[in-house]
Amino acid sequence: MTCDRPAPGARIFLLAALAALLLPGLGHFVAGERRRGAGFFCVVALAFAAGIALGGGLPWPRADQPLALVGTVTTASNGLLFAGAFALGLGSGNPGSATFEFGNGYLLTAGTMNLLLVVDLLSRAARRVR
Amino acid sequence: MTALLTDHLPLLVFQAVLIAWFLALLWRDRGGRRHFFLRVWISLVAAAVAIAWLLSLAGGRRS
Repeated sequence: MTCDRPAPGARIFLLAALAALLLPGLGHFVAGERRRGAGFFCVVALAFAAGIALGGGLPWPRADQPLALVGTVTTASNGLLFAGAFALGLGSGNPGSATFEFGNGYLLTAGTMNLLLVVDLLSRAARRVR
Repeated sequence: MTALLTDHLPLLVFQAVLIAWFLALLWRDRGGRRHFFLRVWISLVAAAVAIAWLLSLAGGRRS
């Protein structure tokens, strides 16, 4: 029987993937790619801040809109950015604003970017287990 | 300034900048990053404008 415990290198990337869910770019920073991690943080945080500034709303699950769950999971993957905006009462959304839909688009873009960062780190962990 | 911030074209162009910057950081080494960024950015903006034009032919607003 073989033991499938992750190799030491893989463990770092698994930890990094969890860190990326806490704060965008933190995962790559933990994995030793500090400049890249800082760059990822800048671009994702900028997209998130622009989404809030444009009047976008932080999605929340609703019984009458099942797809809102997908939006919630995607946007919430920004971790502390999502929690901070929620705690500060930002992101309530202004459907009357001309830029409301664009704001939502920016917020979803920021979440999707961070999920891609998590997938990148997990795929690198998987490569080290093989 | 307000018009610039509410007009959808600058917002689209800025979103394309962010996405192209992100993808260039994710997929390219330092050497080819700038070239890749430009290619992705131009492709995103051109595709978005082309789709908007096609939608306008299908009865959307032409402004």
